[in-house]
This record gives sequence, C-alpha cells and structure tokens, in this order.
Amino acid sequence: MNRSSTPIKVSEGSVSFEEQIQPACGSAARSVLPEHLTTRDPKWLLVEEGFTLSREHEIESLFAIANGYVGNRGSLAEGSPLSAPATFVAGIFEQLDTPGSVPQLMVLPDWTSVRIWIDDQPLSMQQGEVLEHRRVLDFRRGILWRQWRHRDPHGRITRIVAFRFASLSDRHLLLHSVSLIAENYSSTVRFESSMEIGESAASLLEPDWKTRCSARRPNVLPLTVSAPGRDTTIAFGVTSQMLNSGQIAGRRMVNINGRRISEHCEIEVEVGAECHLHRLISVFSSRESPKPFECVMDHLSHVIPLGISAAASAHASEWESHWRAADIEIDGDDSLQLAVRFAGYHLISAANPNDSRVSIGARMLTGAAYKGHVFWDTEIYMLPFYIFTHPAAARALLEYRYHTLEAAREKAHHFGFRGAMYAWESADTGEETTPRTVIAPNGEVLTIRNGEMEVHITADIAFATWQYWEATGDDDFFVQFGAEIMLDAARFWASRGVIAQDGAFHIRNVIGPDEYHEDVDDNVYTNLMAAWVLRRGAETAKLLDQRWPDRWRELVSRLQFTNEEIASWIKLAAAMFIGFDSKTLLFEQFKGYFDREAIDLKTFEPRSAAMDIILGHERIQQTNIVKQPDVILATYLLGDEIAPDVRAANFRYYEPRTGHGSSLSPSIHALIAARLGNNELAQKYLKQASEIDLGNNMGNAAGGVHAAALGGLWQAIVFGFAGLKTSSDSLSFVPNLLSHWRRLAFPLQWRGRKLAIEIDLETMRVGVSGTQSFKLGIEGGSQITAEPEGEYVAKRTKQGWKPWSMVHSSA
Amino acid sequence: MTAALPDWNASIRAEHEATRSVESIVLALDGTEHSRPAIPVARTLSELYQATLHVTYVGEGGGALDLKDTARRLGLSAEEAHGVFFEQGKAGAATRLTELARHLPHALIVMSTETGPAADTGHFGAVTESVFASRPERTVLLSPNRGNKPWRPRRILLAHDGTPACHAATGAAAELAHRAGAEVIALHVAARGEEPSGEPGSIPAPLYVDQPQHEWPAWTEEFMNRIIAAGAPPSSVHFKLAVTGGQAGSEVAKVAQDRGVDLVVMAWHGHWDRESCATRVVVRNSDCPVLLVYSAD
Repeated sequence: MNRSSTPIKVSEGSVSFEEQIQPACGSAARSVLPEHLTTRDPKWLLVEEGFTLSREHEIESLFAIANGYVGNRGSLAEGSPLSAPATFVAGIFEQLDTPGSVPQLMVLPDWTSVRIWIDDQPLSMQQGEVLEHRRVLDFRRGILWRQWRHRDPHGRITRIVAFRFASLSDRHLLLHSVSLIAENYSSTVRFESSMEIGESAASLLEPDWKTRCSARRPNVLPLTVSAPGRDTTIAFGVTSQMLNSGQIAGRRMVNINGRRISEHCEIEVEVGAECHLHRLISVFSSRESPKPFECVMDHLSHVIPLGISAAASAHASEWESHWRAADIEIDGDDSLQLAVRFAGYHLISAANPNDSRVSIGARMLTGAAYKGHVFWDTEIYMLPFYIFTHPAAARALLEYRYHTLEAAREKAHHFGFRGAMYAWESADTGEETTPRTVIAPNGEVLTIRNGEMEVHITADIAFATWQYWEATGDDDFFVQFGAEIMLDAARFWASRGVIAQDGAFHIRNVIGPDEYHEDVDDNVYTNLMAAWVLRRGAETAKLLDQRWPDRWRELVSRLQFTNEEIASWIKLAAAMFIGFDSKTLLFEQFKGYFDREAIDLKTFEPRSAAMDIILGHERIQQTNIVKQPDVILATYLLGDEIAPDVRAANFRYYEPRTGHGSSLSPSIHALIAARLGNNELAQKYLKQASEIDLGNNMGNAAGGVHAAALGGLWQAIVFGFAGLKTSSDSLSFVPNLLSHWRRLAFPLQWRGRKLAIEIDLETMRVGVSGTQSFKLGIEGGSQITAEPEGEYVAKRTKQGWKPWSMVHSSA
Repeated sequence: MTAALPDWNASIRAEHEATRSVESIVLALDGTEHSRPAIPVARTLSELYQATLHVTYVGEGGGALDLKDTARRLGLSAEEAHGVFFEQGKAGAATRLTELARHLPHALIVMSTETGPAADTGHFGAVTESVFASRPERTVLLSPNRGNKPWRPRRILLAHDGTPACHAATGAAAELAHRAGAEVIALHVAARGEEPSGEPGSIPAPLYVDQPQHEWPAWTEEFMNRIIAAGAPPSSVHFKLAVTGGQAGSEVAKVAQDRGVDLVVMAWHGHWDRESCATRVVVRNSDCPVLLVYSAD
C-alpha cells in the first residue's frame, strides 16, 4: 500500500494521524485466500444459515476459533444487541477485588470488531434487508467464514465475505480479513476496526510507544492490558492493509489512546468495486516474556513480510497434519460424522503442547462460563483424545498437574491430610477455586461442597497420569513428573480414609461423580479408584527404585517416603471397603444407596429440565436417581479389573436410574452400551451426546462448548464402538458398529507407533508403523504378535471374529 | 425466599421495537354480577395505558340498549360510566365483542371468565369460550370471585417457557410494569411431561447442570438476556427470575398466589380446547387477573 501521510498529532494519552491509501490493482486487490484453502465438502463444514438473534450466544460458542493459546468467539464483527465477543488467552486469569470472587479467565479485548458505513449508513443486520447471510466454520482448515449480502435502507446492495483464524502454526498470530463488494452503488465506504479494553482491566501504555509513533509510521497499533489481581500483562499489536480495486484513493485515520485503538479506512468505491481489509494481530503475554510488547513488534516484523497468504497456508497445513492424526471417518451417518468432526475441531483447538502451565477449562477458550476453571473433565474425558492423537499435548496437560502439586499439597494440609489433594476447580495456580455458594433461580442458596468433598479428582489425575505413561511409554515424563504425582496421590488416599472396627478401610464424607448425593460414605467410584491409586503408588515406588534409583532417592529425601509407608498402601488397598454383592453382582454406589427412595424416571418423561430442577436439591438427595455415570464409569475405567458380567449387571441396574443431569453422562453410557452389544441404547446415548452443543433447541452452548462431552464423544466411538482396549504391550478391539454405519476409520498413536484403524461390518484392518512388535487381539479371536510394520486384517463370521492375519509387511 | 438477583436492564438493547401499546380497552359486560369484577380492572388499565374505555353489552337479549339505561343495566355507577364509550351491534354477543376489538386500534379485551351463560362444567362462560375460540390478540381474564375490589398491578408475574414465542408476553408485561411502576417476576417452569421445544432460540431450564455454581449464573443471565432483548423493556423495569419444576399451569397459579401477584402475563398459542392446557389451568386457578397475549406457535 502506498501512503502519503499527514503529520502525527500527539496529545496527552492519544495519537492520531491520517494517511492516503492508493488503489491497488490486479492480483493485489483480490482476496488473498487461495482457492485450495477453501473446503467444499459439507462433512467438514458447520453452517449457520440466516441469523437468529436469540441464538447468537450459542452460535458464538459453536463457531469459536482457537489454537490452544488464544481463542475467540465467533461473534459478528459489527456486533448485535446480543453479541458477547470475547478473546481468551490460556492461563490469563483475573481476580476482581470483590468479596467471594474467584479467579476467572479474563475476557480480553475483541480483535474482530469491524464496522462498516456506506456513506453515513451503518451496515447492520438490524437495518435494511438481509438478502443472504451465513457463517461457516471450516473444521478442516480451522477457518471461520462469513458471507453476507445486504440491502440497506437506501437500496444499496453490499456483499461481504470475511474470514478469520487463530493460527495453529504460529499461536501468537491472529488474522481477520473483510472483503466488501459494492454491487449496485458508488459511494464512500468507511471501515472502522477497533479494539477496546474493558472497564475492569487496566491499560498499560508502553513507555516508548509515543516515541515509536513519531519516529516512523506506526503501522502496528498497540494495546496493552494488565490482568486485575494478577501480575500479568497482555500485549496486542494490530496491523492492517486496505486494498481497493477502484481507481480512487482513500484515507486511513488512526486514533490510539490508552484504552482503545481504532482505525478508520475511508474509500470511494464505484459500482462493482472490491475493497479488502486484511488485519494481522499479534498477542503475547508476560507469561512468555517480561516484555510482551517487544515480542509483538518482533513477531509482526517477521510475519508481515511473508504476507497473509503464507500465514493462511501455514495454518491450514498445520490443521491438515492434526487431522491426519485425529480424524474419525464414519460412513453412513452424516450427522454423526459432522458431530465427531465438531468434537475433534474443538479438541484440537483447545490444546497447546508448548505450555505445560495451563490446562483446558470446562468450556475451553470458547466462552466465559465456568470461568476457565479446570476440572476432572480434562483428565478423564478429554485426555484420552490427546494421548492417542497428540501425545505432546497430553503430556503438557499432565505437566500442569505436576506444576500445581504444591497447591494440592497445601490443600491436603489445610484439611488435615497428607500428600496431594487436588483442587476440584483450579485456575492458574492450582489452588482451590470452587465458589462456595450459588443462588439457584428458585431462590434457594446452595452451599457448594464439591471443593471439600469431591476428592475423586486426585485419583482421576493419577489414573490419567498412568494411562498416559502406559500408552506412550514416555519414561522421561514418568520419571520427571508422573511418578511424583502417583506417589503423592497414594499418600493422600492413605490419609483420607480410616480403618474402622470392621477392619476395612473406609473413605467417608465424599461426593462421587454422582453429585446428586453429597456427603456419602464409601462411594464405590472413589474407593475403587483410590485403591487402584494405592496399588499403583506402591508399584511406582518399586519401579523407581529398580529402574531409576537416583530419582527414587531424591524423592525419598525430599518427600520422606519410607518402606513402611509404601507397604501400608498395599494393605490399605486390600482392605478398601467396596460395597459389592456377589449374588447380584451389584456395587452399592455408596453406603445406604439401595435404601434411597426409588424413583421411576420414566414417569417424568418427557422432560426438558434436569431432575434436580424438577425435584429440588434436597429431595433428589433422598432418591436413588443418579446424576451421571458413577459405578458405571468405574467399571469402564478399570477395564479388566472388573469382570464382564459385573460390568453388565451394573449397567443394567444403574442405567435406568441415571438422570443424565450432566453433559458428561450420555457419552459414557453410549460407550458401555456399545461394548455390551446393546446397540439400541448405544445409539440413543450416542445421539444424545452428539447433540449436547449442536442441538439447536436448548441454548446449552451459550457460555461455551462442553469440552468433556466432546472428549467423551470421541471415547464413545474409539473405546465403545471400536472397542479399543490397551495395555503396556497390547492392543485389542471389540468392534461393534451400528447397523447403518458402512465404515468406521480413525488413526491412533500408541507407544511410538502410528496405527490406521478401519472397520466395517465384516472386516477390520489395522495398519501399523512402528519399531517394535506388540500383541494384537480382537474379541473372540486369539491374540497374535504383530510386526512393527505391516497391515493386519480380521474377518467377522457368524461365529464371531476370526484371528488377525497379516496382509502385508513393510519390513 | 426471593433470590437477590441482579438487574438485567442496563446493557441489553432490544432487537425489536417495543410491543405496540394498548389504545383501546374493550370491557365486556353481560349485566350480571359475574361480569362486574372486570370493571375496576378495565378502569385501571384504561388509566395506565391512557386508553379509551369501550364497554360492550354481551348479555342475553342483545340488540340495542336505551343509552340512558345502559349504565344501569350494566351495573355501572355514574362515576364508572363517566368517559366510557358504550358499544352496540346487531351480531351475537361474542361476535360483537371480537369484531369491536378488531376494529378498534390496538385493543385489549377485559372480561370475567364467567361472562355469558354458564356452559358445561369445567368450561367458562359461553361468551368467554366463544371469544377465545376466535383467538383475540390481547385479553385480560379474571375470576368473578375477586369481586369489586380495586385493582392496581404492583407485582406482575410473567410466565415464560423459554421459547421465542413467549417474547410477545415479555413486551406486554414490561410495558405495563413501566406504566404502573410494578416489578416483574419472570417465572420459568421446568415442565414435567412436556417435550422440550424445538424452536430455535429457545432456552428452557437446563437439561444439563454440570456444576450448579457455574451453570445457574450462566443460565439465568442467558435467559434474561434473551427475553429482555426480545421484549424491549424500558430500563426502569425491574425483573426478578424464578424457576420451579412441575406442571406448568399449576405452578404458575401457585407461584402467583404465593407471591401475592396482581397480574399474570403469559403468551397464549391458541390452544384452548383441552381442559388440561396450561393457559386454562392458570386462568381457572389464579386469584388475580391474567393477561393473555396471543402468539402463534
């Protein structure tokens, strides 16, 4: 862009200037996104046709873009009466100075605000006539598109095509492009793009930004903000380019003060003219560097010369790479195909393998609900996706738990326990951030006890740690980080329970995954998982001592483990009270569960609300209604430690008593039903799980997408319908496709190998690329030793699956 | 205990223009004691809306009334009759009423539930039933049991099922609240025995409450944002939100009674024939008048 400029006006706290924009012709005036970066296959596209104002918050969440470092809601650039634009950076929390406040993911300035005027008429869907409007989220490329054709009150027809993305190849880079075509008018068109700091945040002007402005053209507009209650600075730099195919020049006006940067580009357009506004935004924080704004300037100085097309190509290429490692293909069910790609898209967008001091909040970087807090959702529901498709991201997520061990130890100490008692909800520091109370809309003040009693999270984290290590063979992680998590978790459980007069080890006053029942004793999920952790803790000590004695000695010295303590863990695990009836094969979910008031959930159907709303918080505690999988979840996670007939009996018992009052629920039921061959239930729950965010009639996603549900959906397919089971040296499958699925295919990474799985109703194929042989099994068929490289096929007959046979070997 | 919930009126701009205000009140009287309780309600509404009050005779024997005798025939005192337009017509009672309401600008019908001869057990008065079969745009129904007590809306209950179809009622409730200086309780009933609405933009009580300490603040904010954005309330109107669970009609009537509500406002989708329909249950069981705003499904 050629510019001629007026002098810069610098006044107290602001800078403004004007410059002329010369027309750009030919290829430079066209849209920069090459055709090959546009996806046409509808199975990769989420499309919102038209515009429904009342759904806007949901749409913003569903259409959010993110790259694990920064996320942005899919809001309209010009806004609307219900727009809630937001930018989030992982790990950037604020804590307001109000009583009872907890840290919350900070809503950062919206970088996508672009408003357009045709003469003095703002281009708005609230005025004039919307001729065409759609938002398209391209899962494959990670790009959000908007196509809008509008007739304003003066009859002028304007076409807008816009796209934006948060670069997956360069996580500090954001790109926003808006193209305008004046279909039937000649007029003055003005673009206003702006970023503004919210009221609660403090603006920090870089000390030398005025000097920069006067020294050269400030083609990078700065905005720096500090997070309230935190010593964190976030810096944005915005640079833009306006291209105009017309022959008439325009002008650009910039105004920068401490809290707002705005840029006006004014152009005279003729009929059929195209204008393109391209914006590159860089964002850094003081978490990465003590001088984030310097990083912004350096970053953009490297990015700008490469151009927008190169940035887009790199971003799309990175997405291709991720999809090669994660895409699930389902032939025969297009809506489910879209749902699993929606899940995969958001899961890929949420993780950052380069930052081990953040995790993934319950709504990812797509919305402010749940304040960005991290729950067991990450380890039990989301982590398996990363373990088997992007191990580096899984490791980073678990390292976050390592880095927050100190806070977990302090919490344990506070409650009089030993070891690590992880926060039920955590933010940046690992401290407990669960709000203490909430006013329900029926006026009831609910005391929230999860922070104190929902202790199973410590077992969940330890379980996930071991699961990662077993699935990857990442000894480096285990030695440096994982072992300490295991040991301190075991130490916690040993202190959390009591040996009672019956000689059993009881864990009392807890909340299990079924949160409808609080302050219960001997919740089966908690006790089974705690026992598992105690055994694994002892095994960890033994492994370290044998294989990594230096590390073991260091841990012993620092954390004062003794042989007696380790030995006690085995005894406590053996003595763990598990309410189990060997005749019925049923676990009693907690002590006294079987005596609770029996409620037939069918009598409440159909219903549109959770059961605790219909019955009330107090009443539901007295009933046998289960909020979400509890016993059932344990029977899934503990795999072969639970006999198949026990798993089946407990599913038959608890399934009809589960109210599914949590979005974490349907996917696990789908998974287990599929494993048990109950395809009617499996299909029902799979559909329910796939519609939690995408169903358009409940407003569920207004505050952000349901991260755990998305991870659960992936698990339902891979562990449920494909029936994947893993151990440290074997893979096996229990395939069970729904009858209308023609084919299910997905990639996996496991212990340094890449696998390609393909299943249809009669055949299963596994392609392997690795360096070591392993055991490969299939339901009903014998296990074989698979070569490091090769392809294997198993065929289904009426009698079941035949054993694997090698198709070819790449060795 | 009423929740101390924040005021939602500050920052949301309405999507649509405010509901068209009422310009005409059409009071239906049949000359019996059953219909008289509608008089003070119609009078107050006429004052609040600054609307013209039209009285129409819907009693038996129809036809023209001697105007000197009309007020007496309808049981209106001289004061009550002051400034009132008396309407007559040749058609049947219900037809006269509905045609008048259609003819007058932005009309609101006010009538007792027992207007006209008593029909079958479980039904309202014959004229009431006939009027509702024609789906009037806005109607206030009240029980004759409330007598001739003065009436002023200080607390309004807006029954909202979370669907966009209910937004018409939001505007009506907000406008009246603004005029009367009343507060509005937005009541959402988590209905049992009903399918969730498939209408895009609906926000019923959540099916998933993963963590109530987060889900409830988020849901209540979203619920109120949507209904306020659609209902265009003046910023002076103070809303509270309440949620209960159960059968929709019974719960609305119960909450109205428990909270001493002066007026229930609800959207009505034209389903009137079933005895069990929520609208009929509310109208039958409420001690206070009920404003029904017709909104097609």
